[in-house]
Amino acid sequence: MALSESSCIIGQKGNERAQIALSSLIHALYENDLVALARLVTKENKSPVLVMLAPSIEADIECLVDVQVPFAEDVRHYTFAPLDKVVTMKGKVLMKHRNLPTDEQDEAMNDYVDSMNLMNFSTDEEGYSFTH
Amino acid sequence: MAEVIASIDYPRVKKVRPVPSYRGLLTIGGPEKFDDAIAIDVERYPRTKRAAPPSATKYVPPKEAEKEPAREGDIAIHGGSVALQRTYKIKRDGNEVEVEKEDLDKAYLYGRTIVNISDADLNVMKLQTDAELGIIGFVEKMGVSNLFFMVVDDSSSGTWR
Repeated sequence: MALSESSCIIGQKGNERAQIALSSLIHALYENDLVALARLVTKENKSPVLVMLAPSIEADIECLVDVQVPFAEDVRHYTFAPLDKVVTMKGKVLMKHRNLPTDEQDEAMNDYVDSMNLMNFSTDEEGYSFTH
Repeated sequence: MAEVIASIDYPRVKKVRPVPSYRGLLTIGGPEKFDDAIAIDVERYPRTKRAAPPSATKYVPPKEAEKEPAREGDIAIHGGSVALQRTYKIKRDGNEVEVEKEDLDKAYLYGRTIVNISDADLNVMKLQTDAELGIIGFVEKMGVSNLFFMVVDDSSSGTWR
C-alpha cells in the first residue's frame, strides 16, 4: 500500500530542544504501538501528500520513517471470483468443482508457502540467532 | 577485463551527500491557531531511493569511412552532444502547418469540445499550499497492513499513478 520511497525525519541539526521533542514523540509512538498519519507539503504550492510516520529506534539513531500512503482515489478496487467456491449462473454454491483445488492440493500449497517463510532464516535448529 | 567483470558481481554503493527533502516544522494540532499545539523543527532525508544506473547520452558516432574528417569543420558532427529540436505542427486542409511554441495554449477535452483554459486561470484554480508536515492523526500499528512497510516504486518520478 505504500506509494513511495521512504524518508527519515530527524530533529533539526544543532537544535537540542527539537531533537529532544522529536525523541519524545518517537518514544511515545513506539511505546504505544502507534504510527502517525501526516499531511506533507515539501515546498510552497506543491500538492499535499499523505505520509505515514513510523518510529524507528536504533542504537545510534532515532528517527521517524515516512512513506507516502494513497488517497482513497488512488486505490483501485477489484473484485475477483472466490477461490474456495464456485457460484453458478443460477446462484448455486458449489464446494467441489474441477476449477477448485482438492484438499491435497491445498495442503501442498500450504506447505510450499510455509517452506518459503524466511522469518526463522537467521536462527539455527536450536533456535539461536546467528546474525551479525 | 576479467577484473572488471568480476567486480560487477558486487553492487557498489554510491556515497551520496544527504540533501534534505523537507526542512521545517513537524506540527501537531495547528500551532498557527492554538497556543498549546506542538511544533518541532525537523529535517527530512531520503532513506531509500532507487539506485538508477547512469544514463547514456546521445551522440553521433563517426562513420567508418569518415574516421578522418575531410575538412577541419567536419569534426563538429562526429561526436559531441546532440541538441534536441522540437517542432509543433497542426493539420490544416490535409497539410501540416508549423506553429510556434509561443502560440500554444492548454486546453481540456469536454466531450468533443475543446475548452481552452489559460495558464492564468489554471493558476487561480491551483491549490495554494504552504510547506508543512502536520500530523493529522494516529493509527494503531496493528491496524496497518505490514505491506505498508514494503516500499514499492514503479515509477521514476517517485509518485504513483
